[in-house]
Amino acid sequence: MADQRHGTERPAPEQTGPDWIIPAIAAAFAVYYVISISALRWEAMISGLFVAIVLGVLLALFGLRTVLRLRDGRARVSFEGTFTGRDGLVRQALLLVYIVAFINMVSVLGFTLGVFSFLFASLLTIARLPWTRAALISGIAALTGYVLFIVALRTQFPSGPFETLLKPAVDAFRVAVGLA
Amino acid sequence: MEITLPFLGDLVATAFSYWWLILIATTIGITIGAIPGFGAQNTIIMLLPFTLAVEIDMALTFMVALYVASHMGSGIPAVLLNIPGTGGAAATTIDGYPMAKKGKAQQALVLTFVASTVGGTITATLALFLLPYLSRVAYYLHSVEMVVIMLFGIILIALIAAKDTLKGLIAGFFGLLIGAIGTDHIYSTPRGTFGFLELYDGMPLIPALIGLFAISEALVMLEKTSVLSEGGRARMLNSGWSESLEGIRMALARWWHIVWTSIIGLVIGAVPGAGASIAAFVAYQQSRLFSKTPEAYGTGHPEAVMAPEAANNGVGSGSLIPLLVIGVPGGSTAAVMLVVLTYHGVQLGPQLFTTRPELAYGVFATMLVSYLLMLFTILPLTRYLSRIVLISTTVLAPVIVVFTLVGAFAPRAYVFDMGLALVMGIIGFVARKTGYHVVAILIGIILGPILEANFMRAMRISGNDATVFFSSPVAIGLWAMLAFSLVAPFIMSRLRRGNGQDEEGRQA
Amino acid sequence: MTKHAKSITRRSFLNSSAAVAGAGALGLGTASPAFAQEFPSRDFSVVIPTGEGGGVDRAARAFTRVWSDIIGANFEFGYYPGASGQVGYELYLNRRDADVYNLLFGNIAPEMIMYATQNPDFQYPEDFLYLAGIDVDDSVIWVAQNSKFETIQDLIEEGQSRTITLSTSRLPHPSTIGALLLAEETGMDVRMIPYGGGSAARSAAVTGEVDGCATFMSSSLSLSDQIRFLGVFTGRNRVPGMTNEAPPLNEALGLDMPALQGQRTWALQRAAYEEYPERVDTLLTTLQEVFDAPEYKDAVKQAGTPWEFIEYTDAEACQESAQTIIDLARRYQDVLSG
Repeated sequence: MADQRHGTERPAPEQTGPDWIIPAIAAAFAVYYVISISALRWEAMISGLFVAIVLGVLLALFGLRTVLRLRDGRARVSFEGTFTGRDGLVRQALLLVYIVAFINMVSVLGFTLGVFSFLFASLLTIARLPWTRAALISGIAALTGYVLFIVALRTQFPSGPFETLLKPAVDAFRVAVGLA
Repeated sequence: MEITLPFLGDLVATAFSYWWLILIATTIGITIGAIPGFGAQNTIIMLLPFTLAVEIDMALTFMVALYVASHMGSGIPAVLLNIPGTGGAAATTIDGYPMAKKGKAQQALVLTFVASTVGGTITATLALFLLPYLSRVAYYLHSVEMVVIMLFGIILIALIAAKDTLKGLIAGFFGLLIGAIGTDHIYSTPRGTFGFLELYDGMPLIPALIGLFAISEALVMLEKTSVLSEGGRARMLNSGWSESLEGIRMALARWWHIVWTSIIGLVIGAVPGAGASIAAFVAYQQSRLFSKTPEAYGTGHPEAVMAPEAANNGVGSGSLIPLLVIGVPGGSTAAVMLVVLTYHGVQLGPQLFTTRPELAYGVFATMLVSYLLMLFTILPLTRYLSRIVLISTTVLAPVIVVFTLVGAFAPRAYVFDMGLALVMGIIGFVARKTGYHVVAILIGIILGPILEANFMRAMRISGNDATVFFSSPVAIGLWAMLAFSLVAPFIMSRLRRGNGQDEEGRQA
Repeated sequence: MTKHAKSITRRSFLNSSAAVAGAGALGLGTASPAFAQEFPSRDFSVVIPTGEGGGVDRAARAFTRVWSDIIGANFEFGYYPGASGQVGYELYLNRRDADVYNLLFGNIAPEMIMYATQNPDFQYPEDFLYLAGIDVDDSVIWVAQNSKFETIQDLIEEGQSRTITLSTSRLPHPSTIGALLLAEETGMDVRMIPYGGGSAARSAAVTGEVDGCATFMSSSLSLSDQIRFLGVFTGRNRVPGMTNEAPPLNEALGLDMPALQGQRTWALQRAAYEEYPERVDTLLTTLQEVFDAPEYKDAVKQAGTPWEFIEYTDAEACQESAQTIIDLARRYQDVLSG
C-alpha cells in the first residue's frame, strides 16, 4: 500500500489509478442494476436502490478524495508495480487461458480427462515440471478426484469418455456395497 | 424431561459405541468441509442411499458427525490458502492466512481446531441442558430482530479495512449490490440478472466464494513461487511439535474467549434461517470490539482466528434445535436431515423429547463424541497439513483452481457457475491488488439478501410502518448493543490513549 | 432431425395421446417385454423446480423408490429452485433433451400460478404436458396452538377490524389465492407474508411472528401438536383425525369457493411426447403400477404423507386443474405479481 518512508520531506505520493478499476466496475454495475429495476414495484426496488445510492455517494467521495490528493501532490497516477513483473503475468495469463479452456471443454472431455488435461498443461507450462512428473501428478489428482467426486459423492459432473467407460463397473460396485 | 446423570452417561456411551462410524463420518466431513462447494448438505444428499438404508441411530450419528466435522474442516484451507471451505470460515481467513504467511500455519491450524472443538463441545453441552430455553430463541428473534443482528455483521465491512475505511465501504456496498441480484423477495421479479436464468435465485454463494477467494488467490500466488515470506519459510522448516503445543497453550489460555464467541454461534444458529457465516462475522466483530488490541486484528491475531471458528461450530448445535424442537429445519443441512428422519418414521417437534428422548438428546451426545474423536485424530495432523504451504505456488495454484472449479459446479450442476467463479475471481484479483478487501465484498453478498428478506418481511407484516424495528424489547436491546458497538471503539481508544498505552496510533 | 422422422412422430403423437387417455381411464396394463428391453436403457434425470427436502422432493423420492424397481432404471434428481419454479421449468424446457429420459416433477397449482403471473419463457400447454398426478394436497389455514383463534369464525371476526397476517411460502401459491378469496367473501382484511420457503413460513406462524399460516396440509401434519387447523380449502377434509377435525371452509362458512389444492405431478416436454410415443407408453403403464405396489404404501408412510393423499390423476384431469388455476391466478394478478 502506501509508501511509509518518513524522510525529512513529506511521504512519497500515494499511487492512484489502479484503485479506480473496482469503483468503475461497481459504478457500471450500479447503473445497470438501477435501470433493470426501474419499472418494478417499490418492494422489489427499494433495497437495491438504497444500496446503489449509497454506493454512488461513496464513489463520489472517493473521486473527490482522489482529486484533492492529486492536487496537493499527495497522490500520483501510476499503474506501475500493481500487476507484477513479466514472469508472474505470463503465469497468470496461462492460468486464465486454461481456466477458460477447461470451462468450455469440460462437457466434451468429462471430469477426469478435463482435470487431467488442465493440470498437465498447467504443470508443464506454469510450473515447468518435466512431463513425466507433470503427468504423474495430474493423473493421481484426476483419479483421486474421480473416485471422490464422481464415484463416492456422485457429483453430476459432465461425463466424458473415461466416465462412460467405467460406468458399468461403478454401478456394479455401488450395487455390491449397497449404495445403489 | 429431566436429564439425569445416568441418562447422560448412557447417551454418551451409546454415541461412543459408534466410534468407528464417527471416525468415518468425521473424516468425510473434514474433507468435504475443506473443499469449497462440497458442504455437509450436498454430501448428505449424495449419501442418502446409505442413511436411508441403515438404522435410524446409525443414520443420525453419521449425519451429525459429518455435519460438525464439515464446520471443522472449512477452517483448514482458510488458514493455509486464504480460501474458506464454506461461507462460515470466510472470517477465519482475515487473520488465519496472515499467520500462515508468517510461517505460523501449524499454530493457526491448532488454534482453529481447539477453538472449534472447545466451542463445539461447550455449545453441544449447553444445548443438552438448556434445550427448553434455547428452543424459545426462535420465538424472540423474528424478522425485526434479525435485521439488527445482521447489521452487526454488516458493520464489519467498515472495520475490516481499517487502513482505508472508504475503500472498505465501497467494497462492502459493491458486495451488497451483487447480493441484490436475483428475484425480489415478495413478487419474484428478476433484478439485475443480465438475463441469466442462473442468477434468478440470487448470486450463488459458492461460485462467488470460490471466485473471490480461491481463483483470485491462485492468481495472486503466481506472482511469487511461495506462499511464505522469507522469514516464514525458515520458521516453517524449523518447526516441530512444539509449534502445535504452543498453539494449544495459546488457545486454552484464551478459553473464555472461545466460550463467549461460541455462544454467539449457538444463539444465532438457533434462529431458523440464520447460519454459520452470519455467526462467524458477528463473532469476529464482537471479538474485535472487546479486544484490548483491536489494531492487531487483520494482521494474524490469535483471538481473531479463534472467534469465528468457535462461533461457526457453535452454530452446529444451534441450528439443529429448531429442527428437533419445532420440527422445522433451521438450515439447508437440517432440511436434508429432516427427510432422513421422516423416512425413518421419527416424529419431530416437542413430542420427540417424550417419545424418543434418546434420539433427541443423542444428537448432542454424538456431537460431543465427534469433537472428542476429531481432536485426537486431527491435532497430530496439523504438522503435516501445514506443510502444504511449502509446495511451490506454481503447482499449488493450478490444483486449487481445478478442484475449486469443480466445487463451483457441484452444488447446482450449472457450467455457468464455473464461468461465474472465473468472473468473480478476476474481480477478486483486481480488488486484492488495489486495496479492496474481498471479505468485505463477500459479507455484502452473503448478508445482503438475508437482510433484505428480513427487512421486507418486517415491513410487510407491519404494513410498512418503520417503527416496527423498535417495537420489541429484544429489538431495542439489540439496537442499543449495536450503537454501543459503533461508539465503543472510539471511547476505548480515547481511554487507552488517556492511559498512555496507545503510542502507535494509526497513521494511514 | 429429418423431415421424415418428424412426419412420423406427428402421427404417433395422436396415438400416444389416445394411449394416455385409454390407460388413464382403464388403469390397465403392464409394459410389454419388448419395450422394457429398449427403454429405459439408462437412468432418468428428474428436474425438481423447488429445493431439496421440500414436499415435492419427498413425494418424488417415495414414488421413484418403487417406480425404479418396476421400470428398471434409477432416477437422479436435480434441484433448480428460484423465481417460484420458473427457473426449474425454463431449464427443463429449454435445456434438457426431449427424450423421455428427462422428466420434471412439480406441483401443478403453484407452478401454473407462476406461469400465469410471471410471464416466463415457455408456453403451456404448447411446450409441455402434465403426464400424471400422484397425489393431492389440500390448502389449509392454521394457527399456533397457543393462538387465541379457536375457529375460522374467530379469525374472520378479528380480521374485520384489523389486518390478519398469514405466512405463506410464496405469493404464487394456491393457499394465497384461497386466503384472498376468503377475505373477499367474508370482508376480512388479510395480508400474505411470503417467506421464500415452506419451513420458514411454518416456523413464523408457530413462533408467533404472524397470525397464522396458509399452506398445504401434508407438510404441516408433523406439527400437529403445536398448531390448530382452522379449515381446508377443498370440499372435504381427507384426514380429520390428524387435523383437529378442521372443517371444509365452504361448509363452515356457507361459501362456494373453488377447491384449492396442490397436485404433485410428472411432466414431460411436448416434443418428447411426439418423438417417442412408445417410451411415453412404457412410462405411463409402469407409473400406474406403482399405485398398486404394496411397497409404495410403505414408502409414502416413510415420507410422512398419509395414504389418503395419494391419488392418481390422468393427463386430462391434470390439464383441467391447470387451466382452472391459471384463470384464478389471472384474476388476482395484481396482488400476486410485481
